[in-house]
Amino acid sequence: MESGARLLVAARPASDVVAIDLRVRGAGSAAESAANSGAAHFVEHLVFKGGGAPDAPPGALDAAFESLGGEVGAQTSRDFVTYSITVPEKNWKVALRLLGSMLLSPAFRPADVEAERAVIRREMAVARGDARRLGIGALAGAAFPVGDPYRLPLMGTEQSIGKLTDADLRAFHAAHYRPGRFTLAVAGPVSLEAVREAAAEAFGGASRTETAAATGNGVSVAAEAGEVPLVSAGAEARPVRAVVLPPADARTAATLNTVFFAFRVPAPRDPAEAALAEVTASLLARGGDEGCVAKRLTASGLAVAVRAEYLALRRGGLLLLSATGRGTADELESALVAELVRLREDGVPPGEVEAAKYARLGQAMADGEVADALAARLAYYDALDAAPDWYEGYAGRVSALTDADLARSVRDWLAPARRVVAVTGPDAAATAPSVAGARP
Amino acid sequence: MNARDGGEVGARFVTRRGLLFGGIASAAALRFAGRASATAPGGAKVTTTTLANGARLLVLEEPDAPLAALSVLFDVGAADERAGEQGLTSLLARAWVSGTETMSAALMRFELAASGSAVGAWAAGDHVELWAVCRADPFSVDDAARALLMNLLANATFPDDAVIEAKSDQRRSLLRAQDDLVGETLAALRSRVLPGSVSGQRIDGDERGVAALTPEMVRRYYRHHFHAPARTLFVFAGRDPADEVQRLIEAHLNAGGWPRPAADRATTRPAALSPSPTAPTPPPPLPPGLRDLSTGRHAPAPVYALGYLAPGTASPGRTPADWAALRVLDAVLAGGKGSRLFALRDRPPADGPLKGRPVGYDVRSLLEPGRQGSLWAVYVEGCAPDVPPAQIKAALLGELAALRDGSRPVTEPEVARAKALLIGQHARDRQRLKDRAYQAGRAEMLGIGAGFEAEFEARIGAVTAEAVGSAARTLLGGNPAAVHTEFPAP
Repeated sequence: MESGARLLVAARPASDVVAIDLRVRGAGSAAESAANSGAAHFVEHLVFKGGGAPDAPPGALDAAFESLGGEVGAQTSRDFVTYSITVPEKNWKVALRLLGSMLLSPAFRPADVEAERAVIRREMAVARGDARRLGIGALAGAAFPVGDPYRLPLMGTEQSIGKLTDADLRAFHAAHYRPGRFTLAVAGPVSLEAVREAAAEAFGGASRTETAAATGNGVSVAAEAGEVPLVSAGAEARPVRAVVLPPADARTAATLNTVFFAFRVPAPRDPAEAALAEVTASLLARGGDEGCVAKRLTASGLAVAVRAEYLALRRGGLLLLSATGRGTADELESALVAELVRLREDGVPPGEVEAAKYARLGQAMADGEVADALAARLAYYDALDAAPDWYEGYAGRVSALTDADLARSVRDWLAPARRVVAVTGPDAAATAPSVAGARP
Repeated sequence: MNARDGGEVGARFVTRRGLLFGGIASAAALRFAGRASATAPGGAKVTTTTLANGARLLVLEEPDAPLAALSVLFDVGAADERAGEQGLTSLLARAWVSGTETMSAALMRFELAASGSAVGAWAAGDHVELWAVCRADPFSVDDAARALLMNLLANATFPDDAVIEAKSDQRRSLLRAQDDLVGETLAALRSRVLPGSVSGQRIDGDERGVAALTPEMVRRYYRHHFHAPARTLFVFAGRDPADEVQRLIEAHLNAGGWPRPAADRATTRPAALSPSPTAPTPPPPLPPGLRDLSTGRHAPAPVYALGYLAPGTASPGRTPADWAALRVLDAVLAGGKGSRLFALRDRPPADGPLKGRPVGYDVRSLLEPGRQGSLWAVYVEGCAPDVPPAQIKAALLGELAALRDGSRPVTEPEVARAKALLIGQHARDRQRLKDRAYQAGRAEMLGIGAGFEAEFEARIGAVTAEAVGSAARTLLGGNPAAVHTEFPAP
């Protein structure tokens, strides 16, 4: 669009609903510094408080959306912030207009800021009890070089959000919430022209267009760090350990240990490499107990769930692998390492590559059936600046992957010595002393 | 968020072998008597009928559907498990799609991949679903129906190795559930509100009990409970008209020999939990003065849940309109961020128990229907640690009392918001054909009727503020049960 907003439209004439997925590129936690850590997530909360009338009660905006038949969901990521809603067909234009108003004209009332600060503290406490959020946060904090904004915690810290003022938050919003940063994906019984027209009305006033960033993707180049280089496998290296020490109030929450590994893998800009990363994750584990690593660890009784995923980040991805179980953290970690070594030395068992590809294609097909999943899929990779034909070419790229491709990804990306490790659960505290002096 | 006991058992296979649809259909015993049909606003024609063997059939005819979905819903659940059998229903579902006398599990998986179809089985607290999804063309539909009906339904074998693998899967599921504090809290609440009922029991049993279950127990349970037409509902959604679907299904059932002779099967549940639609026995009301239950689990973000016994969907005198009013009441109270109870997070009152502090991070509700009794619960995740659980309870009860006693009656805008949200969510959650088939079948089993699903927008749209107020007085007039995790010491 003229403003720089990018539109992706999936026409699904038979659908009864329209899904809207809007991502504000460059407005995630990676846009922060240590000084304003937590601002992206704080702003994500505050936009829900609405704008306009100074005495508009909290919740009025939510009620307005819900009166259209949908609930707005929001999520802060490192590279972007997502706002999504699915509504009956007749209401999508109004919902989009309301979403535009919500994102571009929040009030930032001081009372709302204070109220939401307390809510965010409650959310942080929920996250401290969630092994996955703890583990992945810790991995990201350790997998990137010191000073890289990807290391910052997604929600900030209790201390950092305590210092943020309404002026700080207003400034963050003004710097990042511009139409030129928007990726808008819409799926349902709509046309590109109708979406373009509705989006222009929602985001495209002249004054807003002027504020759009001039760079191609809408993200200020000056403020952006370069792509984080991949460290080649096989070099002399020791695992980076980022053992998670749960806060005192979280130590008794989990009964199971979880060991997380992260490996640096390519950014999603190259769609072929991104497809390879997705299939590699699927090869390792899917659905908790399928995939060649998951099957062996669950069958042995050591793990109750093994998970793997490709965490696509704009400047470099992570391949995450975790095992949860009754075993000790040492046992789980040793077993994961042994499985990776076995895969690298013995090769991928016959049929596993096809099964992993089939699972990814099946998931893509399933997502294609549902408007909200389809819109999310479209918006996700666009917001990461992946190639424009990411979606159309996905099935072909996955289908084309060979055993040799997977052998390469396992060999080049999954060197156990390059792993970043995090541990949550009862053993986390006991594990800490063993990593004293570990490489940062 | 809602809680569902049991777990989805992954997609497995559908065979491409065997006779084609037209050939086998001619051998079918036909019966068209008692068929009733209606057309949903969205265009699907809904037909209910009874097969020659006594089982019911529900057909959602969608002429443009690119896929077809076939489900078999069994009115079998935890209430059918005897002492020492807890978790058996879930175990059977997990082991079900694992091979038959004529086809190994490996071959099934291979043929699944080849055909692009999928089948699976899973168990909830009070029912089991065996399902297949395939392409809409006649060949694929026939293949899927054969695999599901002739092979899996009629001739399941539950080989030892499949049951042993399913036991491992179930034990892992039980262990994973331990660290789901919201799920664990709601499970405890469910057991408290619906003690001894189908819905109140944990479908996965417990680890020790599951360890004692044997393959022979699974096979006996299958023969006993899954060859009973009176407890079985077939659901088909796709392009095919109802009469052709009936011929197809009866042909494959007859070819497979389903049902087996009556000597080896149960046709009814234990008397106290009879699923009879005419005289369901409701769970006893919660006693007054019931003390709050702590799960004993510590968490950085405590969870607090409050539950009420709601009328069963098939309770005497209840109508689908009552169910619609209850749904709207649920949405008024805690559906969405614009709801009354979510306001305790977003805009806590300046005085009272919370004194301006948010009650927690999230406030949600769930409404779980049961024929004899339903559960309505509200729960707070991420409770404020400096607010004792008694004050959280007081804040929740204060809001509920204001609605029940009419001091803050439900308003027209609240009802309008709730209705719009429900209708939108209903459409969003039924985008997949399989989900539409399952939900229609589930409504039929609950006694609400598949027509309620088809006419959802009109049924919800007809609910008045007065009906919501009446539903509130009924629901909230009883005693609540409360379950929470441990809170930090003051």
